[in-house]
Amino acid sequence: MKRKLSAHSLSIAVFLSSLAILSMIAYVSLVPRPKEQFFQIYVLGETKMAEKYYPNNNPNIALKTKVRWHLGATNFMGSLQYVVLKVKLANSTIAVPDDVNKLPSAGTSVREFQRVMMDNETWEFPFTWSIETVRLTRETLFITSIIANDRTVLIESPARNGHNYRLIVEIWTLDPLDQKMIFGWRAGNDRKVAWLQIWFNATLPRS
Amino acid sequence: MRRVHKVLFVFLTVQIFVLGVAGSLLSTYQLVASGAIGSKLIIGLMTAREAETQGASRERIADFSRTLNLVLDLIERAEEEKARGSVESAQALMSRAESMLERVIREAESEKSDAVNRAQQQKVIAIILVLVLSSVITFVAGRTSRCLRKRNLERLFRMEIQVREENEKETQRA
Repeated sequence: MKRKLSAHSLSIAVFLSSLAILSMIAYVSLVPRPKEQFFQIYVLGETKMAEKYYPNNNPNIALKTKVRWHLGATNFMGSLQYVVLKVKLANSTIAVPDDVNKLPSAGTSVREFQRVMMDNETWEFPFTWSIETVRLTRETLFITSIIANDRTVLIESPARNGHNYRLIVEIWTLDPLDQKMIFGWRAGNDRKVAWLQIWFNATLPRS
Repeated sequence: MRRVHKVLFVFLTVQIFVLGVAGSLLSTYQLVASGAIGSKLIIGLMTAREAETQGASRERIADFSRTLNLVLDLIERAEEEKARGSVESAQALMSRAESMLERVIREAESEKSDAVNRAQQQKVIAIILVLVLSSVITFVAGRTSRCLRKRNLERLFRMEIQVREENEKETQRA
């Protein structure tokens, strides 16, 4: 009787332990492992490498000189994402995006590029721009229009002697909670932002 | 002559008023239409994302992504057409984008429910499989332990018999 009881309890113990182990294996194989959610953005030069950002490697950009870059973003969010890359023009005094308070730059919007991206997808496209018109008032140069990817954009951006302009690239995504576009992205309870900037000087053609 | 002028003035005023009202109505309609398309775009995206979360295949999600990107292109082209002043062409592009979005929403919904059903089936199969495998392991373990115990007992008895036989032989010799 005692032996029968011990055999019985042994069977129950074996059943319960195998149940626990197999349930764990089934859970691990069925439920996807949570991974870090983030975006990667980049700007490459005309050779699609991190070089030759300016014609002849000269950051003094003359009027109507075409500057060829490649903008890119990669989605590591683990799901389909609606992404907007905003290119803004700013001078040295305009605030850059605020990483702490997650605020975008107050620079003038030049172009916006939008795309729906799959998980692990990289989106890369050429971005060609040139300063089309400028206005010079005493020592201040105003960029008044830029052509970005064949579209003329009228702006009014001043800089002393045309020095220290920058093009800022910001990534904006659709927030799944508010269903509105936000600067950066939401990863769980966290908000993260990513942006890039490239400096240049605007120069007038020699008369 | 004055009366003619008066009539002409009233006629022109009415015409300008009608044109103004029509223009504002048209722009309001366009705004509403683009707002509607914006919300449809968000619904389409969210539904496709839900389908993906539920486990829809990567090919289907790639299809949705491609269509949604086409819709974005159409909306951008429509905006350009509108800026150029060709409202009809812009509206045609918008309605094409809208119908594409409706298709995406419909298909993503069905894909989502299919994926939910598949996930449910997988869960049920996994539960059954776990129970069956646990029972099989228990059965095999029980059998094996019984066999081992039996073999041990047999070996013990055989040793006991052997010892007894040797004892008997020794007593006979003595």
